[in-house]
Amino acid sequence: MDAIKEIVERRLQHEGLRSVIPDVEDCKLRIVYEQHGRLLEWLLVEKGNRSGGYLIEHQADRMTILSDRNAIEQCMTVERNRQALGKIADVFFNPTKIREWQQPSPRPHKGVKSFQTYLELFPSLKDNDKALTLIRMEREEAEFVVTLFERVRSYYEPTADQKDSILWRNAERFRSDTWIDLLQDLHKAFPIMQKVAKLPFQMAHQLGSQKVRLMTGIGWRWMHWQVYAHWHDDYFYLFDRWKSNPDNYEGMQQTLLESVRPVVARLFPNEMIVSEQTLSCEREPFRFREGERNA
Amino acid sequence: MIFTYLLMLAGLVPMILFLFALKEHRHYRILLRCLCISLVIWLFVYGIATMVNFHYWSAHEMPFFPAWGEINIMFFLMVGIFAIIFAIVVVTSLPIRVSIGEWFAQYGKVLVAMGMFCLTILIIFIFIMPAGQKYAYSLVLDKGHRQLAQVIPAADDPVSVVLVTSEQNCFSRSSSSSCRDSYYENLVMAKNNHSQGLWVQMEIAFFNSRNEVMDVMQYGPVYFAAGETKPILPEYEADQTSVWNRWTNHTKRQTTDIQYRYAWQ
Repeated sequence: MDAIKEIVERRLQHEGLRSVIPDVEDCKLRIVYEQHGRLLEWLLVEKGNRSGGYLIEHQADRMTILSDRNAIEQCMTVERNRQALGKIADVFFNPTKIREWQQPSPRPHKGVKSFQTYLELFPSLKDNDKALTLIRMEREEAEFVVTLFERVRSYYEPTADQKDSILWRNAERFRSDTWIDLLQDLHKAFPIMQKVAKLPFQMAHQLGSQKVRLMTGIGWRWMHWQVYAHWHDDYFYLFDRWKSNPDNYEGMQQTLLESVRPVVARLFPNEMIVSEQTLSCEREPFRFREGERNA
Repeated sequence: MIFTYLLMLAGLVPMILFLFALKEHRHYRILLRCLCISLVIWLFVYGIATMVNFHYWSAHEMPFFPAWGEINIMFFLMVGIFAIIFAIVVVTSLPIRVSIGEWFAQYGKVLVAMGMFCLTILIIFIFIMPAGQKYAYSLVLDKGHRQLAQVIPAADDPVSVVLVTSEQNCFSRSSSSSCRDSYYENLVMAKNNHSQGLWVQMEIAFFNSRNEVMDVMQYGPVYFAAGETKPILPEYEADQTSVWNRWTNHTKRQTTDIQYRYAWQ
């Protein structure tokens, strides 16, 4: 996969491309969408107040500048899903995220920090039967939380889908129906996480990370409140201002997609009018091997 | 005085708690929880204040609320402060052209916070502060009664007069900046030791620690029933000054001694 990424990276220097797209020097962002075996690159250029984009399809021996509106729409859909999932992941894993309703502050987000401290308890919790019995949590539930948030974290890692100046998007990961499952899982995870509040401080002290070991009993209690408030103020608030753990998943998905629409609109300004052209390149080892596709 | 300040501080707690909640949280479930906790504290503190006020109203015949004139002054002061803040918010937001809805979303919290602050100060002034002041004033009166009870009356001296207190109405010691400019509140009490009612006319001189006369006060003629004890007070307008804010006089320095002479009939 890295080889393909490097080839795509180099193709911006292609002489033919420069002659067709003269403002390629002003390229601000490159996003490559990998969908149905196709590699579609969206090239965002900005010059002064003017911005626009080109869609290029990369193949082993050529690249084609497309003017297909449907292909752009497909890329936009993937991007919207990616942004929406990123927004969810930011809630749980981005400590530097600035709450838009508060003044920008250099302090890290306390809710995220508390949530992560809470989450760090789960790997040791799932192996401790005594603690699980005490808080009436099944081992599967603890494992479910660990797996779920590993998945959520994969949408946050800022460098996971970035290679130098190129952002990579595997359309399979950002299918609309798959992230409805994610919303459902997060819905289930909330009450499971609340069970940790029943864990006695002495036991949490033994199980927890260094941060929990340095806590006082009041600090431990306060953390429950912070995590509870964080779920509501940052996660549930994405969908509803009133409901605790809303359950209309399609509605939640639509709300989230609407909220990221301006971001996607900035990434996909009007396309540049160019005639469809194919540029030949040197034949490159441009085939996915099994296993790489899902990387 | 410390009781008054403690009650006032406790009265501010629910507001501070909720304002912090407004700053930190935005989901209504969380805000409602904070509001409920604030309400419980509010009910507790204001319940105590109401009971204290009720006690002094029923047992000591002190009015439940402060004098109407004092409430008016405080009300207009708070409305004025809120109006100034509102005007500042409106003027500073004028260059940002947004719809009314967005404007409220952006500045609503500031206005709610300031509105709550002004309202809380007003309620503290009406409920909490009088409760503490009544308690402090009743302690002074009790002290006066005790002092007068210890005086042994002479046969040709039917009226006893004592200086009960001469203190500044400020939180810390008299050397602090908050006390430096405040006057000493003096309270003098008199008792008719005679077995019959008397009309008394009095002149009282107030001395400082250097034995200098700071003020001379004329009082009466006033009727004292047999055995009656009452504070020596100038004529106050009933609706302008609350009972617990009435003092014999105010002096720049502390009164350490008084001298008096009187005529009776």
